[in-house]
Amino acid sequence: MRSATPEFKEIESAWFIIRARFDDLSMMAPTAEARMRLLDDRDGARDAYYLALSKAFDQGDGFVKNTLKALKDANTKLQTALADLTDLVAVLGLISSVAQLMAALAAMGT
Amino acid sequence: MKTRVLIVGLSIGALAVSGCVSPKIAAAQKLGVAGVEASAGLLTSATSVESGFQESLRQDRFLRALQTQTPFVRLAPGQTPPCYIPPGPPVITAVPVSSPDPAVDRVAASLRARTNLARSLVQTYASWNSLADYDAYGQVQAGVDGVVSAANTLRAQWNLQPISKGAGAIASGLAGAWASDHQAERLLSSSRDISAALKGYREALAVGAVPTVSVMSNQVGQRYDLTVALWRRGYLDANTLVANLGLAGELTVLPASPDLRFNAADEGTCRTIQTYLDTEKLQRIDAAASDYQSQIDVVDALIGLHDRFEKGDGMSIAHMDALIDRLTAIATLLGPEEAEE
Repeated sequence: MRSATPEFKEIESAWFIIRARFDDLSMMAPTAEARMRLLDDRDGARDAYYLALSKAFDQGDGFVKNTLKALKDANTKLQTALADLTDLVAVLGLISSVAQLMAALAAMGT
Repeated sequence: MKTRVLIVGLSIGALAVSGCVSPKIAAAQKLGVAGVEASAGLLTSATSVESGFQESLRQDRFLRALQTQTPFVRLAPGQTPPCYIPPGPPVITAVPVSSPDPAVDRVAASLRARTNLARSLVQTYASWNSLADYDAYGQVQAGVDGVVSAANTLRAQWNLQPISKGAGAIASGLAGAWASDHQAERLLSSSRDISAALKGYREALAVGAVPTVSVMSNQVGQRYDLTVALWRRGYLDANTLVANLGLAGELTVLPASPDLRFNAADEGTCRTIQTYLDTEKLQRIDAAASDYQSQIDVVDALIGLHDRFEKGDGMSIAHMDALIDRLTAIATLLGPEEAEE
């Protein structure tokens, strides 16, 4: 059985985290604008996940590897931030970053 | 499940009227029953995943729409979010739904290809049983064409080379081991065709494992996320769940009444049930990978049975029965509730 590429694993992991914690984060969004932005970011993350599903990844591409590293770092920061929700603005900002990196990585699939 | 029972019932009926048959024909009939059962199990599983995927897309929209009425909650530093989310008036305007994503269509097409392939297999083995009973060679060949075509549709999803029919040409050595009986010869030829198509099916399943298991895991997660969201808002009560949990310890829940409902308004109850649902979600996500491996195991077992049939070895379908029972049980666990009817 073919194993998952690191790119796919990161995108899947990021989407599963965002999806599972979405309800809490939406409730805690400080303003209507922040909640709308969170919804947009969540949609972007979901679409990136579906794009990643539908594509194979070129593991040898250096640009992909760099983006993957950035996503891994952002994903780790997001998980740490979600464990301690003291800085909500930072958490919502991280979700934006993760969603953008997921979209970039998914779009690079061959 | 009903489909499987009906198809197997018909197969056994065909066996019953066939009366006294040669060992080769008896082996073919046994293989046919196993094939119908296996392909019906694969069809149940594939249909369950495909319909579950469509359901998860609707659930995603539902969960999104719930956010319009979700109140804003300010937490003190270090405070955890409350479990119970009281209903309130709309706090943001309706959220526009994003346009359909072509990537979603591609995933859906891949899942549909699996369903179509399993359906073609069911038809092929039904025809195979006819061939074993009254030499319906044309039916089997039409069925094999359908399987090859459906297998190629699935293989195209994963950029695999198409397979072609024609593996059924009987090797001279093997043909000699068989009686010159015309019907038996056609069974052997068809077996080789079906076996070749099954190998193509197996390869496509193996190549598509990662994204397909991911889709299955995601749809399980999506379903539970929505259930938890509805529970937290007080739209569901847990009386049935508590009653079912009590059965294991021979305990009964008090009769439901407006005054006695296990609902999320009590923060402790809310968290307990949420934890239970979150744990169950993780268990079912784990089951997704098992389900997929079970499908591959069933196809492997079918290939093995064809191999034994072609060599004239004895046929035992006990292992296949166990695999199918496992596949059906996991598919039922993963599918939407209405699929269990």
